[in-house]
Amino acid sequence: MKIVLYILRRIGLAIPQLLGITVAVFFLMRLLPADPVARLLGLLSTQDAYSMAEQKLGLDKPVLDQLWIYLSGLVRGDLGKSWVTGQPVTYELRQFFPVTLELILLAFAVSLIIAIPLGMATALRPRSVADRVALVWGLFAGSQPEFWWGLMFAFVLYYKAGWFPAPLGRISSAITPPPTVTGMLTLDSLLAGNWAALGSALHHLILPVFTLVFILSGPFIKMTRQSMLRVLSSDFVLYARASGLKSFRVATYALRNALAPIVTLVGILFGWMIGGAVLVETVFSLGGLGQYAVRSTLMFDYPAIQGVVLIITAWSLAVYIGLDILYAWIDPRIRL
Amino acid sequence: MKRTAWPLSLVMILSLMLGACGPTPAPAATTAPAEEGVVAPTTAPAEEDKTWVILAEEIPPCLDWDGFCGPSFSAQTAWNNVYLTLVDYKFPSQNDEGVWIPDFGSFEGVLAESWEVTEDGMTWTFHLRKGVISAAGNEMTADDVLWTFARAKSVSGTSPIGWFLGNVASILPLDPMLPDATAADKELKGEVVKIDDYTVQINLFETNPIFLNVLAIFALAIPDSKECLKHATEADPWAHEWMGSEGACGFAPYHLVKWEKDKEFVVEANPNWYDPPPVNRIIYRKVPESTNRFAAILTGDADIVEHLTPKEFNLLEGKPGVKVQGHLGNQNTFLILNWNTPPWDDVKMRKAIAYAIPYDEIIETVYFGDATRWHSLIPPGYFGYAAFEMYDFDLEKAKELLAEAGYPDGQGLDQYRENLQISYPIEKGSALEPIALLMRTRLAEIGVPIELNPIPMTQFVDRSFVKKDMPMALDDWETPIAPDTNYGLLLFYVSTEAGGLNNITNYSNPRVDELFLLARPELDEAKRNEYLREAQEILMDELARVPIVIRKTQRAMAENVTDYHWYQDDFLRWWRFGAK
Repeated sequence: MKIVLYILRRIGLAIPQLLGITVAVFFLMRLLPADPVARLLGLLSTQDAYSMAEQKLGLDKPVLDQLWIYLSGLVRGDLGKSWVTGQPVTYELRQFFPVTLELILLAFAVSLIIAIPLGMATALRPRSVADRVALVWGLFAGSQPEFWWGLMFAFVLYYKAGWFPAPLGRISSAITPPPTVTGMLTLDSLLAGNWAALGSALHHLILPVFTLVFILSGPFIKMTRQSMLRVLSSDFVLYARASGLKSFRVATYALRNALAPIVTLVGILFGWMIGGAVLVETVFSLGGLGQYAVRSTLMFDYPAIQGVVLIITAWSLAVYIGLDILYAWIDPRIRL
Repeated sequence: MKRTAWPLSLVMILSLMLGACGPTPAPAATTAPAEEGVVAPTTAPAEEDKTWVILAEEIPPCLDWDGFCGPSFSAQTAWNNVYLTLVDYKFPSQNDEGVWIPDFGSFEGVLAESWEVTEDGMTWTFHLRKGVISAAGNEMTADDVLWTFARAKSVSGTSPIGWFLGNVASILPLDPMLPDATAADKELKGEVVKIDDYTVQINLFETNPIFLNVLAIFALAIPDSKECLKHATEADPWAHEWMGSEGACGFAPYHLVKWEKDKEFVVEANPNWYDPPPVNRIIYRKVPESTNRFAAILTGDADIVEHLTPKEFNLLEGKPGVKVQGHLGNQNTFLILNWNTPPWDDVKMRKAIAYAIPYDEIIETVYFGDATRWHSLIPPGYFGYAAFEMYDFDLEKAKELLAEAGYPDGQGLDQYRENLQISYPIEKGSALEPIALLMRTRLAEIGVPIELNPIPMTQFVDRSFVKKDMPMALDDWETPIAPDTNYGLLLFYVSTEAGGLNNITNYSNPRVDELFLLARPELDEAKRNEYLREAQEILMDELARVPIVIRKTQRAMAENVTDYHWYQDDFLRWWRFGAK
């Protein structure tokens, strides 16, 4: 009950934030040095055609009118229509957001499965070979361009070795995709019992997930290691060891105490990656939110840009709420 | 025994396994290089069920040429496959790569079977082909042709290209686009008349030597009006919304079955078509990375790929299972120098630049030899084309001209710093940046300091088409779509006051405007060519723009893809290919 009230209170706080960002972006976009109308004209750039196009986009009205129209639509859940495709922005967001979400959920899950035990192990055996390897990898991977590595993995593992499918999309064109429920192919295939689709979707996801894991696990290992080292030097650990507890047992106790900074890092990156995965999405032709954001920005598609900003902000806020609840769960000293 | 060792090794083994293996791969489709083009469909495969995968850097975001679409290459490719025109070019011969080349002067009927024209050239009668049935099941009649032109004349879309081409073809008058046009001005008034169900008469307001050429352009394609009208609404009687973002209603060998914006555009053969195409299903897919498209054609995961860089095409030559075919036709690269921004209002300065461009270096290093010098501002092969070999890479000459213009060794150019920036779209960076860099190096040698200014395409279009204030820019995608010099003049060189459409450089020469009007209705070829020759000489002498190269346009395709037909608009007609 307390949790529900807490969530409601946080959502209440989030709404003015979302509104503020929407309005800010609305005005900032109109300060950009290009005219979205021009892109539509192409061959015919007469004054008449320009006025007609301007009218169609609603840009002939005064700015405050445009804002009012947008906000009243927003309240009804209507984010307008994309100026590039003519599709409702909500429809497009519903298509692209789950793609990226699926990618980063898998990437984070795998990274954490690798990074946390590895980080723990290296903290427990500092200066061992494994520790040094993990240290180097941590430093190295975190600063790598995922774009280049993605292309390298595609080249070696798809083109040369043929182990993985071509980076042309999320699923083989020969397989009927499952009916859309969540928008995440893996989940939808599971729900529909379509094993061929599940297999193909996972097969196509392995390389992009691997690329992200390669980059992400670096900072995770480092953070886990540092945090664990700090906790392992505290008094209660000394006491536990002196009491004769097995090393593994001690480690699990220590982990719970070391989690807070790790969770913070994971949370922040998780919130950020929804847009940050764009390069991997592009390399593997996944068609996610990042690609949509880039396309909309370059095409000056105002409604789409607003929609993207809105969803990314809402997502970040949701992740931070989740983080705070997670902290409270991990650390009983924290009150919500 | 160190008890912490085993979790570590377990974790490492696990991570290796997770990285290296995956679930059993999906059926042959994803990894089968051997059987290109044959992919098992979801239903039981028929004997001849062929599917081709065509990869491009973007797929159609929209489909209404009169509407919200803007100059999208993929949309234009799509139009030419799910909508067809009355006439099309004859393809009498192949070039030395086996590509079919059109004869711009000879036509064959597509949706029309035959036609006649009166002696005075003003009245054309078209006999429509019988038994042309759309995928929706409707037969094409004269009503559809009338609807096409009525829709064009209604100028109801955001960007009324249908009207524009109807006007260029001398069919539709200027009336609907005039500032005080009434609703009545936007209705057909005898320009196109139905004689009977299969006969249509088109009455021109002026004689027009390129009438059939314009009729062959996509915006005068004939939609299936019965089907399109099903999607019209009160607010949108010409179905712009539906035709723009939801579907296609054409008379064509292919019809649209699936359209996922930003992902794929899937067409299937029209079961009612009188001349079925060799491939049942085409998946036109967006793959933004050109290296992935490059890899896909090599492994057989794709049948045709578009938009590779010149270097990638070069690397594909001679690779087994792949062929690279193309044509050195009309695709051109040129430099925009704005007449409104000094020092480019001085012809001597413009000439100085023209002598300082390292043409051969560009051809060799940027295009790998797949380009040639361009000696006109109209592409070769167009009606009335004339070549004037006036400029070459000669730095001494460039320095001379620079001094004559009043800037010896570049002194005095500092005041024009802002106008010494070469702009180009970021999206075209891989092709244009190397050219800009080469130019910058050479121009620095004569004392002209140039900066590079990559900007998003939208901004580039805004500045070039609307504001017309870009001092210098590189452009490699603007080519007149009708293969005619006069049309090229209308598009780029006739002054805006005299009706020029996309006079990006703010060029204005009354004699050129005059010559354009003289050539437009002139049916006597020799006379017309004289006018056009004079116009081109003026353009080259004054360097209305600076021509750089004519570049080859190419596609990479699997060995079993045959009969690539090249068109001057460089869009693929999928229905013209053959499958071995």
